[in-house]
Amino acid sequence: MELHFSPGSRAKKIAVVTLAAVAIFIVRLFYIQVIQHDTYVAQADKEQVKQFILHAKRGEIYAMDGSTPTKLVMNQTVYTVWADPTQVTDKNAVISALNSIAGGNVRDNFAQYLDMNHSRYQVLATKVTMQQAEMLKKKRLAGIGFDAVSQRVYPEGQLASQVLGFVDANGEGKYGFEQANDAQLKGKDGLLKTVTDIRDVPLTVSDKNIRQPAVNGQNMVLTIDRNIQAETEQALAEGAEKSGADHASAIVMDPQTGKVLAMANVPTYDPSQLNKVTDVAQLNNDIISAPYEPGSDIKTFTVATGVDKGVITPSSTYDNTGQIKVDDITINNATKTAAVTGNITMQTALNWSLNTGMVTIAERLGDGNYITKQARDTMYNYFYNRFRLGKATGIELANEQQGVVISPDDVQGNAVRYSNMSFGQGMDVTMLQVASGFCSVVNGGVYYNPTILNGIVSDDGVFSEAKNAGKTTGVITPATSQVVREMVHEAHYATYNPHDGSDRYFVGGKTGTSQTIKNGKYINDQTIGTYLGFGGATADNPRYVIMVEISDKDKSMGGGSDAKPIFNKISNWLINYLGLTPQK
Amino acid sequence: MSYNRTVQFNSRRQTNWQRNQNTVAFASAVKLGPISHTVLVALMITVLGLIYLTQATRVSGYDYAANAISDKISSLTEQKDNLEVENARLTALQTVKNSNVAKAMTTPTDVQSVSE
Repeated sequence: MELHFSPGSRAKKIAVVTLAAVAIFIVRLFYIQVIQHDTYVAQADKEQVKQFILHAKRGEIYAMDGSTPTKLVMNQTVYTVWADPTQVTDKNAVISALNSIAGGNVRDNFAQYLDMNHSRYQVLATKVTMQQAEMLKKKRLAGIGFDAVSQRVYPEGQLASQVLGFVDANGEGKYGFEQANDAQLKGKDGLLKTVTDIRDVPLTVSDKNIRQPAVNGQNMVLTIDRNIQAETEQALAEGAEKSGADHASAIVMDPQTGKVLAMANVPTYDPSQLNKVTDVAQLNNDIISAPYEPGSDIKTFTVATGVDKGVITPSSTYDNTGQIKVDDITINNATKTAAVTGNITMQTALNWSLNTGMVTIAERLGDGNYITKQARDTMYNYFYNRFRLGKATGIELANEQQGVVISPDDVQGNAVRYSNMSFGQGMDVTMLQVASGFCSVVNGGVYYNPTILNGIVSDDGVFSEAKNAGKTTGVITPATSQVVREMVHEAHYATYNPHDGSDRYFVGGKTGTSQTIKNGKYINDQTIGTYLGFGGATADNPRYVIMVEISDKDKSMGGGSDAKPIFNKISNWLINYLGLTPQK
Repeated sequence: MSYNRTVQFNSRRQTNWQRNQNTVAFASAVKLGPISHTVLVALMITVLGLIYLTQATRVSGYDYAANAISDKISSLTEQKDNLEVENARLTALQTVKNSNVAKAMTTPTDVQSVSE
């Protein structure tokens, strides 16, 4: 196409001006679209491309209900109601609506926050349910907003709260199972990067959209049986109240697997009402976090060591004078009756919990007269290496303490120390360690690593059992285990026969009343009462191990008088719950 | 009645023709100049642009529909979670223990076990 203009014509001038204008546009567009390309793309992205975090759902925690997993910790979306005071037009309507719909969830004197015009975000109510939030939204209150928040809910209330722990405001697991398994429960947040419209609705018209789906946390199943746990908590609370004690703990284990069936402490707390916890010590699970001197329960371990090494049998005798001297220390029995004085058997020593009998076993592990280095090495090998007292078990719970069992190679690991250790003093161990070690004593000599993780439940609700936590065989011989079971069974009924029908089964147990240290000295007016025992239908198949501890400041709690009744209550209930067949 | 022809047919018989060849050529009476051509091309480009925009808008429309469905799924999931929580609370041990059915139960006066 060829244009012909007359020289100097107006058309030519218009064409020139138009071309110049077009040229300016082209140059400007070139500058904006080519030279400034990156700048404007970045500016556009900043306004149009939004990044959203796709929150992973925290895994739920299940307990067992017999053989079926049942939910113990769940998630629920609740809402925080907030106000932008500068946008609120009808304060009375807001106050009235909140009082009538979310009265129990509003902040104290929440109306005052509506007058804070210097702020644009004032929380008025928290933990408002979805139904309440929907009702409030329908009121169309100007200046009122809602934030969705996921929170943990506990359908079983405070059941096993110290085992579970809780989740803090930042979504981090604290204490117990929540803390120890935080990574698996938490999952991994996803990311959605997308072009949005003015209302933040994601649009697909971009090649810059990124979507990384969130990976939800694992639903994990505890070995805790909710029925056993509930019964244990009730027995513990009633026992503590009856004895006037302010603290009690109990653990129930399956000796054939190392699974913890119940783990409870008094006092406890409600994880959904953490603001009511006045003493932070209530959050601790003392069964794994509070090592103590276990006392006479440990005599079952000393007897097992003596039998396994062949230095005693139940009918072995020694001369009991009521006291025994080790180096410059004299060790006395708590029981000084004439009936157990003189030449008595080891079974009698166990029945009456005589310290002299245990020190005698320790001496017989040496040269027969003294707790030699060889005797101490043997005891240490059994107590520390085999029964794993003083060693962290690695259970899937936070804040486990390992305690202390002093080695004979240590300067403090002398004969006096080991004479005390033979009846459970002079060492610090946790209840979990004692119960786990006792499982291996009564189950034929297999140490199962204690575990509280039973498996996982998929999003489809399919339960998969976890791998075994590991075991060590040959802790003691099966023959030794059988002998000790019989001895502990006899010890249980030597001081207890309430004719409650439990003697038709095979139940055994040992009391423990341990002194505590005050101002560097052992005292008798503040003792910890414990009871450690097992039960089953027959002698060769123990089905449960129970350990109970009860204590109070400046009070004497006895193993037989205070801890044993709690053991009996749990044990008798378990006999029925497990459907054990009576043998008589 | 008279009428004008708007289409002119030029016979090709005067020229060399061969078998199977049209003997009449079409020639429009409407003449388009270069500016008309340019305008028409610009219009066609505009129409194509509009078509593109309608398609792109339609995709965005799907986004809004998808977003609405996604919101509904979230809401229903939330309702489902709430119902599950309520179900768990209703079947919790304390609830069962305190239920009217449990309260109406009595303890058996005599229980006998049978050995196998």
